[in-house]
Amino acid sequence: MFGAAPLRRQYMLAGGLLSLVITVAFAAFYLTELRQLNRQFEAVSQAGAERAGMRAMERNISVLAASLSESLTVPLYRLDFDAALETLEAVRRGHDVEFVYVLDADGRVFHDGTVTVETFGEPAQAVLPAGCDTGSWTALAASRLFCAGHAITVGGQVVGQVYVGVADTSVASDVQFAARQGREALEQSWRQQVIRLGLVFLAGVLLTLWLTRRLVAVLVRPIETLVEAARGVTRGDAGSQFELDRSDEFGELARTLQAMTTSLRAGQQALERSANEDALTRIPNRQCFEREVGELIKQCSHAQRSFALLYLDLDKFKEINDGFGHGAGDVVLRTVADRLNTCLGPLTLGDCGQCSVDVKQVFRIGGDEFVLTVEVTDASDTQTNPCIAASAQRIIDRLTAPMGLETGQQEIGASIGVAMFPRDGRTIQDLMRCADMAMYVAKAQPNGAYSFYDEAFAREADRRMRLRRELDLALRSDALALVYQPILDARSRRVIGCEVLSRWPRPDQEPVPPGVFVGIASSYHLIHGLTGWMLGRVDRDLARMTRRRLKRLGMSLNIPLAEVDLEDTLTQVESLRRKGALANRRVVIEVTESALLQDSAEVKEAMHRLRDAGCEIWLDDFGTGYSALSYLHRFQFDGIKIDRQFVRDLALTSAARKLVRAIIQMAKALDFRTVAEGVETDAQRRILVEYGCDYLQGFLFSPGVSPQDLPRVIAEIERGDAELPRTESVMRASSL
Amino acid sequence: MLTVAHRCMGVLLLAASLLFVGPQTHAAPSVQAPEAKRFVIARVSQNPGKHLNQLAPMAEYLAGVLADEGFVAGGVVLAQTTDELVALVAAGRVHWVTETAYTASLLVEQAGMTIRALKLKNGVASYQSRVFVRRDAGIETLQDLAGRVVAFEEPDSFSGYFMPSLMLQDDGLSLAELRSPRSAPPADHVGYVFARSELNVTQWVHKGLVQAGALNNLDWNNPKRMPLAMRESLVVIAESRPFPRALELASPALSETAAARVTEALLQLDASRDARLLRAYEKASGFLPVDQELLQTMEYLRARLPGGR
Repeated sequence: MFGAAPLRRQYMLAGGLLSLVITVAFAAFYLTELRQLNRQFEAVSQAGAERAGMRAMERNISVLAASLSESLTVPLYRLDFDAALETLEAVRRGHDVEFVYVLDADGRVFHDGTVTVETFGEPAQAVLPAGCDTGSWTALAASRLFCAGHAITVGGQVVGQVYVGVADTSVASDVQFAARQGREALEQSWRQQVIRLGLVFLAGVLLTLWLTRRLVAVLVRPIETLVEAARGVTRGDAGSQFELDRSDEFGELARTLQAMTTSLRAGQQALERSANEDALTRIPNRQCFEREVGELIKQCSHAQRSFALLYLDLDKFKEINDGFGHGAGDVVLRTVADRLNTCLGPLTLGDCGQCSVDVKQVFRIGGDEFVLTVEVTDASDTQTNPCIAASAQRIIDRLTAPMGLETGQQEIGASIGVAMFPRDGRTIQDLMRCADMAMYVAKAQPNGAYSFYDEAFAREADRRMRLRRELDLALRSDALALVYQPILDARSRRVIGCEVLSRWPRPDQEPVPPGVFVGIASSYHLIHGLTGWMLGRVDRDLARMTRRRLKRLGMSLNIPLAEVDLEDTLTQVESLRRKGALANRRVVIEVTESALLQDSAEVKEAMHRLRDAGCEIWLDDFGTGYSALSYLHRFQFDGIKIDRQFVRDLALTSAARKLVRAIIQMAKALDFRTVAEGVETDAQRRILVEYGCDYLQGFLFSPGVSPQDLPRVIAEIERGDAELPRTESVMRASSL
Repeated sequence: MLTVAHRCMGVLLLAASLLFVGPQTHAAPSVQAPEAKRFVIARVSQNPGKHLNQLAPMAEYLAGVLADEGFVAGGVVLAQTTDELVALVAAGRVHWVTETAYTASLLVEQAGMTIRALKLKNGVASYQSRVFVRRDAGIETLQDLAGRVVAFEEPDSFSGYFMPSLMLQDDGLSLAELRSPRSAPPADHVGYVFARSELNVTQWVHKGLVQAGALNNLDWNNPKRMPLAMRESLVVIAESRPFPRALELASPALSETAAARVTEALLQLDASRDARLLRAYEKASGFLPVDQELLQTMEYLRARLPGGR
């Protein structure tokens, strides 16, 4: 009932009800008491009236008897019935007389007040009621009778008596009349008192209501003040204060609320800061980026100004993070942020001397991705790329200065993609897409570069998208093909296995190099599909190799463990290994360093399972990348594959020869097998054999060939026919 | 003419009233000189106020009748006793008297007045006295009352005392007045007491205080004076001859002619036409002319007058 009403109305209602109840209770009590008092008074007064009436009657009758005795003296003496009758009739007319008897000296009736005097001569005892005596009350059956008698004397001598009797009913009727009048008076008085009390009651209620209203106002006012302040705080009025100049609980409440609000505001500011600020680097985050750049777009659209969006991505940050730990990565990021902060602000660049740019803001929008906004302030043509280019170069220069980490000095590069508003796009999404493409292009250049977005990038992107769609379609329609490149025992020249390589032959079109479509597959999350397809195709290809020689041939499969659904892929491999095409033969799983970079437990576990399934694990492309020796220790390998770039340089530089030799010696020391890929010349073959490399693979012996050609090629190799480079056009096998 | 007379009566009534302003009490009877031209009616009265009002209208009326003889107004004279009345008449100060038979006989005898008419009262021309006893008293004749007591009304009562006492005397009985009904009379006498009222007479006989009582026939039939319940136990043992209730007498001061004219005027009054005038005149309902029987009755009375009583 009180839920929806304001406090003031609730209090008023409660106070009003309370006062009403109390007043009504008092009024009821008072009226009840008054009623009781009236009744008592009425009873007492009736009794009093009755007594008084009786007394008065007694006196009256006594006086009447005395008076009669006087006036009856002569009639009695003269035996004057007529005169006696006249007197007595007058008495009976004037009084409510029950009887009257005039007795003679002998106590016999002389007269009884009737015309005929039937009782004449009868003795008094016969006519007077029993017990009737002078001045006494005699009880009769129906009522009480008052008897008054008086002697009739002549000259002091008693000559007779007169007796008068009156019933109390006459008194009773008088008393009743008096009582009725008294009752009516009381009733009237009662009504007046009720009216007076009603007025007092009304006045009391009104007074109480007024007092309640005042009291409620006094009680509620501080609460209302606090409520108003709370509303202000809720609205966000900075000036809203909980202030009550009181020392009581309300004052305490106000102070507490004020303290709470202050604390809340501080917390809120911190929250806002953290919402808009990157916790690590303390520079604006992606959320802030979107808001601020959105605002900048709006302003520039309105003012028809231009600005550049610089999308910056650190080079090799992932390697640092993986190689030296996240702590190091964080230090790099903080350092980068600090350095980018120093780039902020307007500046004039000296190269052309007329570029005045303003680096407005810097944001961290991802792991190692930053965005800067740059306006050319005093050049009418904001498309003058040199100014932006100069500032981009300046930023790159700043970042590439070596930074001190715990592990020593570290250089870090950055690539910047530049998109121009409004030329390249009018929305954040468009600008970011363009900058991303430009950055991708820049990334492709060595050692930190910037690149402006060009429409050609979009075309390239379109091409990649088209290729992705076609690749997806090819996978679904089994349009890819596998080739098998033989791997020889370096000493015996005997083919011990093949590396399975994917090819995408497109009818009537130029074939897509494996590096390109594998890259696309990697970019567009098609690697798992590609791996699954490969395993299925291998199974089918090998099922057709029925010759005993081929059934025993080892198979090397490239499985990028970091990019596939491990459980699915492992189950497939284990199944093939158990009863499929991979059963009863040597199986090598080639793993690239990149798969190991994340040092994930899943990858480690996967390698254990493959080993348990009887597979060998070889480290592919050894020597490129970071080639952290710790991998060799942390992961259990059966062999390492020496990258083709080392093999290519073998015959050219002694440094390469020393390095390859060291790799092979290290592998032997660690009890790893070694295989060299990309062997194209006999000189290379001889050097590798001399160094003790276990296996060889390359065009010197055979490119990847179809399953149908494989028996012939193996036979030719083992006969020695395949010593010369092939003239047929084949793709160079890449990492997959 | 009648209406004129009535109008004049009102004025004269006022004059008559004024006339008696001073000496109208019983103790000081007014004997107003019959000043010339005032027609005066008189009677014996113990209740002057009542009788003054009763007689005045007739006095005025009769003065009017005799207007041609110089009477200009009516007047009333009330005497305390019969003797006084006789004296007034003798003095020539009264022209007309209305009285009972007893007083009338005295006035005829002593003052030379002449009886002119008989007045009917309440339609009754005559009445008679009755002597009664308790039915269970064993008394049958007046003679049985010797040695017993009889109750009379009062000394002035014609029918209640004078007449019954004459009846007893006519029957040869001697009367002896007693002081109290309880007193014993001489053995050969009839004792008598005055009971003062008709009802007392009845009561005394009824209650056995006396053995006999006397009332006129009108009282006997009046329940107030003789309650029926009581009358049943009473019985009449003797009844007198009838006597006229009231008589109209002319004073010697009035000429014979005038007296005859007044008598004629009275006889001419009609019971219904002049009801008001008659009613005022002591409840009269008419007048009868003097006849032989009346004359004999008056002679009877005159013979027994006690000589001044």
